[in-house]
Amino acid sequence: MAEATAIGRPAAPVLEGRPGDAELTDALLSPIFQPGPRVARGWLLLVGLAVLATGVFGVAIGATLTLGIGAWGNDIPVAWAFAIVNFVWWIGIGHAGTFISAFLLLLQQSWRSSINRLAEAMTLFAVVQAGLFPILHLGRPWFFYYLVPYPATTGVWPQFRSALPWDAAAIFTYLTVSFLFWYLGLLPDLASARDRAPTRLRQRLYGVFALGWNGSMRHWHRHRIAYGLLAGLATPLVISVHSIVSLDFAIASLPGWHSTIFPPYFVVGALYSGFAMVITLLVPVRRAFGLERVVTARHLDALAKLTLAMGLLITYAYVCELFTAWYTGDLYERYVAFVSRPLGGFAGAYWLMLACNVLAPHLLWLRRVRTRGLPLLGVAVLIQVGMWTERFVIVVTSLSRDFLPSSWGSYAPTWVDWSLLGGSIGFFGLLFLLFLRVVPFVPIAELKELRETRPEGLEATA
Amino acid sequence: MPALFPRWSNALLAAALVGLAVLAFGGLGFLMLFQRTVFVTGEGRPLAQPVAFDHRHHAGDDAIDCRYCHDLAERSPRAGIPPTSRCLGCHSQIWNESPALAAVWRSFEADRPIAWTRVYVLPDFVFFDHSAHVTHGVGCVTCHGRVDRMARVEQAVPLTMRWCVDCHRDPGPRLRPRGEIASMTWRAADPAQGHALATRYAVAPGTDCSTCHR
Amino acid sequence: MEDESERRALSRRAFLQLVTAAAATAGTACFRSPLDTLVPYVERPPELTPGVGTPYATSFELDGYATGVVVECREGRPIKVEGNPLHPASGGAAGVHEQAALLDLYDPTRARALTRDGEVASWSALSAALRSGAADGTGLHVLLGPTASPLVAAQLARLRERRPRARIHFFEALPPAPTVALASEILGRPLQPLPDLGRARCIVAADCDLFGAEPFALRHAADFAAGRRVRRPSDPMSRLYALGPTPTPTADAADHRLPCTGRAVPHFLAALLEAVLRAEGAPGELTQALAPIAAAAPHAGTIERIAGDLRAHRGEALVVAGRGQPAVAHALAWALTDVLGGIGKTLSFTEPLLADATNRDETLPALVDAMASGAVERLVILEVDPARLAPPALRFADAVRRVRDSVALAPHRNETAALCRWHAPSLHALESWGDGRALDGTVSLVQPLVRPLWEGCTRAELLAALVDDDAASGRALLRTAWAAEGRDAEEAFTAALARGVVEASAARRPAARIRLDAVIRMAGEAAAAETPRDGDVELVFRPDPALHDGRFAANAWLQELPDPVTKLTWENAAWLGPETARGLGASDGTWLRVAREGRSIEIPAIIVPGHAEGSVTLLLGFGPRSHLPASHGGGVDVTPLVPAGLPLASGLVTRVEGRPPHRLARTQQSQRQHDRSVARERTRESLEAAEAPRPLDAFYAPPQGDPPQWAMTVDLTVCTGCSACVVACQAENDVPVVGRDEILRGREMHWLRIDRYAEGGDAAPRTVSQPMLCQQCELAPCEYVCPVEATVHSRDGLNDMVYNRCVGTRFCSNNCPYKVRRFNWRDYQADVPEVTRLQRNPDVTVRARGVMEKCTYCVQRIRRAQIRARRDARPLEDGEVRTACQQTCPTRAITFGSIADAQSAVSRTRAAPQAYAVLEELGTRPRTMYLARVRNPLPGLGVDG
Repeated sequence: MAEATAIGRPAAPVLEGRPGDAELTDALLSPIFQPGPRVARGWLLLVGLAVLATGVFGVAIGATLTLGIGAWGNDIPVAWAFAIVNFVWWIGIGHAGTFISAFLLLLQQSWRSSINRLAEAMTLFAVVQAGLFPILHLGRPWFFYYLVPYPATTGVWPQFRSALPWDAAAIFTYLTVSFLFWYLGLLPDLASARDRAPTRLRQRLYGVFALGWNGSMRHWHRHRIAYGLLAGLATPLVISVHSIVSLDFAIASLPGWHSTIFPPYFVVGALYSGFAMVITLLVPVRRAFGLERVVTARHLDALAKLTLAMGLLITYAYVCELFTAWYTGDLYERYVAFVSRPLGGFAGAYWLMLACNVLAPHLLWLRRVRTRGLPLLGVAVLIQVGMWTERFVIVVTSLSRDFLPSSWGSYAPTWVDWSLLGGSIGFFGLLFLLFLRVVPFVPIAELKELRETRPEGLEATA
Repeated sequence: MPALFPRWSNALLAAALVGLAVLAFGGLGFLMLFQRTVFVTGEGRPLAQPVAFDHRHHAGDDAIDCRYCHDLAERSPRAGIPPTSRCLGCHSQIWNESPALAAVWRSFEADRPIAWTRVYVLPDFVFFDHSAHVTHGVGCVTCHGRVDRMARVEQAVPLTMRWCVDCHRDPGPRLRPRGEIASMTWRAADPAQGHALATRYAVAPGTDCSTCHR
Repeated sequence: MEDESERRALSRRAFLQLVTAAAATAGTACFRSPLDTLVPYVERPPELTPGVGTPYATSFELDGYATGVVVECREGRPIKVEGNPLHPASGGAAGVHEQAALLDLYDPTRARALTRDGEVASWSALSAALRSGAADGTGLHVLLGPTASPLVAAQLARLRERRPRARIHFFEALPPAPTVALASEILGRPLQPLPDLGRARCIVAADCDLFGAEPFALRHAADFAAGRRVRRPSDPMSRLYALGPTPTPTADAADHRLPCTGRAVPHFLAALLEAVLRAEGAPGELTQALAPIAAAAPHAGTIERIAGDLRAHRGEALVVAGRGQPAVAHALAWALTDVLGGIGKTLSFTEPLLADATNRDETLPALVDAMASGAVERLVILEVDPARLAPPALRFADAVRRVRDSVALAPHRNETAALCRWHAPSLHALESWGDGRALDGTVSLVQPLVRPLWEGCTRAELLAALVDDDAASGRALLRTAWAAEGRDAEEAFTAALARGVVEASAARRPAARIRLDAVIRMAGEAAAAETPRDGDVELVFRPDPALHDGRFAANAWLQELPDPVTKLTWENAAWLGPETARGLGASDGTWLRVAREGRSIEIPAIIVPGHAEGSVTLLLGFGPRSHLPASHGGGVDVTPLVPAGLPLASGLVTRVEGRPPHRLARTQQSQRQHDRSVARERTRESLEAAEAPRPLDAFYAPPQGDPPQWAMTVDLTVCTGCSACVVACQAENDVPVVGRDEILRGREMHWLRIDRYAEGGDAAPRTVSQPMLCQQCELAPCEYVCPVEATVHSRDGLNDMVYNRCVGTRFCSNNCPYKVRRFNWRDYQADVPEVTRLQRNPDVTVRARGVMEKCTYCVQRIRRAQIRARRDARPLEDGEVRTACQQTCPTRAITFGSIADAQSAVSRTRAAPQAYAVLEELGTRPRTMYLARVRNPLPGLGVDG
């Protein structure tokens, strides 16, 4: 296989052993219908925590809507802060799913099969978080529809030179497509869930959502076509969405934002945090539900390699940014790049960002780190933190030191800001936990297919 | 094991999916249309007033010039609601016994103003200037309609921003000679005349936001 | 008075407050809003046109002298104050206090009823009490602040005549300089000085804040600015040396800043006089007499050259000492001006103007003694607050308790009012009849523009009530006084009311001859009397530029007005020079203990480059007040340390250990430019080299509009940073006040702010004050990032802001290089008290929560003028539209007009060699341009700056 031979060392199999149909199906449906008591208890505990955090999220949102943006720490000049940072962070995370399922599908990377469902779900839930922040961030959220082109009685339309209407469109498109993609792939497994469901009621429920799937040749044929088409549609989105998001900054004349490198830089950053998030979720899940045979060391290894690659790319982007700032000779650019970021009031964030995003990934050169759960998890978490701080550095540090020294300012988040960040993480977790226990999070059908079509992929190959 | 669903459920499912789509898009469409109805714009709704003042009689039969009572129209942003004393200027002499005037007399004697019900409620955040329009050939009737035919005055035009802007983009057709400002019946002899007036009165309202929003 | 617009305005605003909530539920304002009503007059006043403002002339008095203003009324509500061009002290300009006085009218904390022992009482009861007691006035004492009002003077005269044994005392926390007494000593007759900066080309301001704390400041600033508008090196330009401890707008405007302690000022002047006399070849004994005093002069190295410069400007030289300086400093200053041939030209003397100016011995201590001895039966205190402001050593409060019947006339229930038995609310100037005099003696009238919001009376009325059984109304009193002046004709009176000033009423200016020997003897005595103690720091007490001695503490506009120098709001701090601070180990916000004569206060430090070392400036007017909300009681009350008489003292300053530093609510964090040429400056010589400002080229062609094309220029050479424009903008555009906490968060709302940059050494930095407002960029960065077209360009070159379209993404602010956009983080407008909303400008939208706002060149004024012009079928004239900031600027630093007309004033100023656009390299093509600060330093003078 490509990535195996590339490294020239035998790659671990993507599926261990040759489980039978029934065996496989039961194994993968067990989390839904008969989880072990330990699993069930742990799950409940986590859900409890997530619900709590989501509650905090609700309170913070309530405070924002009733008190106004004044409840946050934002000010002039730092008119954008946590909300935008969170938004970019979440939407970035949301990129790995589509990349894994669509990109790798088109590239026929067989190993994607066992993890793509989980990745897609993660994407979906991340984009849901991301979608909330731009609305909350408006001074008057109830007028959000001014950004939507529609024939108003005022005869006024949105302003299409601004990146924001496109931003709204991009997010919405991305949300829709990734949902459809996820749901379409889910259909056959919903059907098998329907057929295996213990109670009549649950059979009916799964039945409704299975949309009458009967596994006929015709169904499979059309499913394959539609899935391929959606993959083709989703792939460019991976690039376009975050490019557009990056324009929210790049079209501004602000030193630290006004840069042509932003679109690729943001896409890479997005995938970087995305893969990190997949790892962060995959490692515990694999362990908790004992799926080592299905989600093998091979998967972790591949993900880790991708993450490392992105880490190198992001490092390159950082260097480029510094070089450009120096090479332009522009007073303001240079000040941001070489004074306010590394030495200013928020220097801590800057160095934390470098430590997490530039240094940490190099641990992934070690095979031991790549294939073992815990160390890999550690690196992944560091990268998540790093990527959040990166957005903080871009947004807050740049704003706090712009052109006129007279209007330089600072920024201090309030409890609402922190609650919105923590709360959104909790809400994301809640959705994900529910997902784990409601639908099969490893695509059963695809695994069976894998077993049939790619026998050579099953044993360790030389 | 019997089938999970009866056969007709397939049709139902399909219908449900279509229905959802229709509801989503139809709902939006409805809202947009509704915004344009009189329920929102408030046209053609005669409103009761504290005094049964009849424009048909004053503006119509007696052909009193609008500016006799609304005397500020040419020099103030506001056309001016006549003070009680203005009513009694005439009615202390004629019809002074009429019971219809009871409220007016009460206002005058108690020195307490009459609180009329506002008919033309401009959208908020709009700064409208009567003098700018009236002195540049925009007739009263153009926006207020045939008040000489209204027992109770009602809103004659939608007052949506689009409606304002349409005229601001092309004022010509709505212009008339200054002499005919208050005329209820004036008609342009030939359509080109309006644009001629536009040049004569140097009418160039423009559609800058700050023309109306400040 | 019910009236159309008021109802409409209020209801509209009330609706605005709800609009967010309403919209939140409805998504969009669906069904038409609940029917509201139109309320016409029963009988419309003839002079009034609803919807159109009417200007009335009146005047405000501060520190005893009046400044004429014109106030715009809308349907009976005064809504905006502007300068009165016919009044000498105004010349069309208005200062921060005149602008902000409007807000005091609508101050909800004003006292609303006459009280006796805290219970509401009747006015008849008061007048009875006032006239009880001995007919000859035995035991009757009156205490008031210095005033030049002829009406008050007349009432005092009648009191003297009808109640011969009544005694009249004067009190002011920071009394005017003792110039009249001094004049009687060295001019031989009681006179008071009147500097004329219009005729002065070389000026030494000795601890004298000509453009701030001194009376006639607006006029001084205007006259000074007139001599500073240069376009080429050959243009004449005056030169200003600023001496003294505290950096003030005057020191900022100076060509040379000479920081020195207040006590050193007389020494410097003596040395200067000595040098000038020597050069003039005066008899040796004079110079020898001065020598010992001159020996201790600061900046000794500069004195010879400055003396030379002064002598080079014979007849055009002016040396003037400030109200904070002892008599000797004034004497020396007069002597210098005299020797330099300035008397009668740059400095003239007028008859004393302050009522009872000649007998100032009836001071507060005299009153306190009388009270302590129980001789005082009835005490009437007129609009002064001794209980708060008198030196504690006097024990004023204890003394008052021994008075049988005490009456306080005060706008608020302040410390004095609370102490007295009776509290009569005083009327606001806009509610009362009266008059006043400017420093040059010109008489101006005070007329009511609105019926008193709450009951009250004026000083004159209360004084009249002391003698007459049936006290006449304010207007009647004024007419009688007017008639007594021999000006009987009603027409003349009406004319004077209309113009605001009385024709040819300026004071006579008798010739004066300085007795040089007397001055020198005086100087000698002063030097001998002086006993400087070691280890002491000099304490300099000044009125706060905004709150004055605290009488404006209730005024939110002034509380939030950034200090011209420190940019501190809502509080005060101890000003220190950098060296002194280092010695104390203090930095900004460090708590200091300042002690004097056994009393001490704790106050945070603030380091002010250019402040004299060994000296600390303390601003009056702050600290908690019983009658005001805590928010208006910020800062530290320094009155416990204020000495009687001269506001100079020595004290001990130490660091308070263990008290966490105080967060100072400043609106500007960095006063350094960091090598960015934002606020530019150059010397007069360099103007030659300068080519005409190169056209601001941009990659994209700027939008082509039709005339007029609005533009503004700000002349940094004449801007003193006085901040009148900031308040004017606030009043005109309903700019909300946000409070200290929001300031600390960096959320001030001023559409027009004044940035101050200090360059050069900390000892005597060169400073530039730069008014920063929306630059109305032709290629505006804010416009293309707004997703909803809430900010777009108008045909006449304005950057329109549509509040009702704004959804509050704040992208525009991020992309504004000038950071002049302001965001309604909270529902600030909802915090405005109901009564205060009457002040709001009906032509301006009240901005809701979550909406961005900014300067629009007062677009409401532009549109109003355009409509007026079109109605009269005539073109707009240049200068017909004046923005609020431009209108009020004392130095006329702001020019506004259309650049489509090449002959317009603004086009011509933009052509000046020192014209430039801030951050022009960004290609935003700002319509607001600046004229670089031009300095006229004495070549080779060895001081920084």
